[in-house]
Amino acid sequence: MTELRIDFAACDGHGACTDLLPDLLVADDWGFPAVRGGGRRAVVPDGLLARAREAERLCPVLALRLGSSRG
Amino acid sequence: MMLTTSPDRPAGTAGVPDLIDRLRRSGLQGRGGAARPVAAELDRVRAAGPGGVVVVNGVEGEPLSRKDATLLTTVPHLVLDGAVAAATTVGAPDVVVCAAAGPGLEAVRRAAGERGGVDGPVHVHVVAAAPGFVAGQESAVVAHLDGFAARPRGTGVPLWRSGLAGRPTVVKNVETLARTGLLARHGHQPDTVLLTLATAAGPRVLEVPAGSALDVVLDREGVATGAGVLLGGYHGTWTPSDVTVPLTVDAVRAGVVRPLLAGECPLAVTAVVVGHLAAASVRQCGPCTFGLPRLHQLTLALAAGRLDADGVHELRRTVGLLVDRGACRHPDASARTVASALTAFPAEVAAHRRGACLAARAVAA
Repeated sequence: MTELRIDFAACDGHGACTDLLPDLLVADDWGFPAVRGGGRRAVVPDGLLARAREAERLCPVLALRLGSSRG
Repeated sequence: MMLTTSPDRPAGTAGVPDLIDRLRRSGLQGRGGAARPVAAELDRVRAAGPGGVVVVNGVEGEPLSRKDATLLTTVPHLVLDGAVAAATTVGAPDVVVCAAAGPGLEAVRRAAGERGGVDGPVHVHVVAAAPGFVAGQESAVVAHLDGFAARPRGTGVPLWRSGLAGRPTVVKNVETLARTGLLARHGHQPDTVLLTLATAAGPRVLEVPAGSALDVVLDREGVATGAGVLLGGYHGTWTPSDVTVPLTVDAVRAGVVRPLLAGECPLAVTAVVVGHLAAASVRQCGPCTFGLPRLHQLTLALAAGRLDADGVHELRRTVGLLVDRGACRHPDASARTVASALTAFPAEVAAHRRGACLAARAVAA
């Protein structure tokens, strides 16, 4: 399973990820991404993998990381 | 056997082969606040390979806590014995003590100079901590020791994989390592909790059997309690006075017990606490940078009787915005402190929505 992790220390709230992945992420009151349903990581369904890779690449501060989850 | 009254001479604990078994049997949990099992953490850093580091966390950024400074002052060799035993067990050649400036730092520095070769291949280093609440978070301690600003790490790379100077690192609280020292010396450690009781006359450090009833301990200490008690400190949880709480590690976390005085309003104290926590943010992560000041404003308004039902709803929503959204747990824990006030004192919240204060009224009556 692939997961999307946000580095909140790096994130400046540019909003590319919340625009590209509205099914997974929502912008909070200040424009910072929040995982829909809560938690620190978003599970990326296969159908959204390409978009998630694009979001990872387009984040201006490289605050997104795709990785495989354990178990 | 008590922690603070153990004899304080270096005991030569470099090389206790079954230390991790002893830790596991005793069920020792960390005493810095997170209460994680210590055996599992040492196991993991040992498995990461030799060349690691054991960091003794004596930053004690929690404003009301004094237990770690007390241990460093009274039993520095016990703390170092625990750290050296842990270091030899995980194959780490270095122990680094990072402690807040003050008598504790001076005492442990002096003690490190008195070890006289009892630590085998392990070197003990002592470094003054960066100031601030968040500087005590474990990855912030490592950042400080590496020469960077004392800020928590956001990448999620665990310290056991890459910590101080990229080496496998385990950061343990002073009290945790004092208890580890007793396990290394004697094979057992006391089933107690070490508390800092915040009284009107100042902080008082005391050790009580784990599971003691909070109200019994407060009675014995001669501390009269108002509407409730903040357990665990600024990153703690409120409990109303009429609830009997057993003082376990999971309940007291970093050990701070802050009773309300008679007439003191829990919501007003919460507002002061949140103000401190908002100021303590290192402004690294957006939700903390923007969310904590709003949490402070809303809590102040609630305490002043200026928050209506919509405002209370907005306060609860802001709490939700702070969970699981930072490099460290500062926003989560700050939000939890506020949420616990709303849960523990529902009648006080309702009274404040009408512009009244039950705590003040109780004293006036």
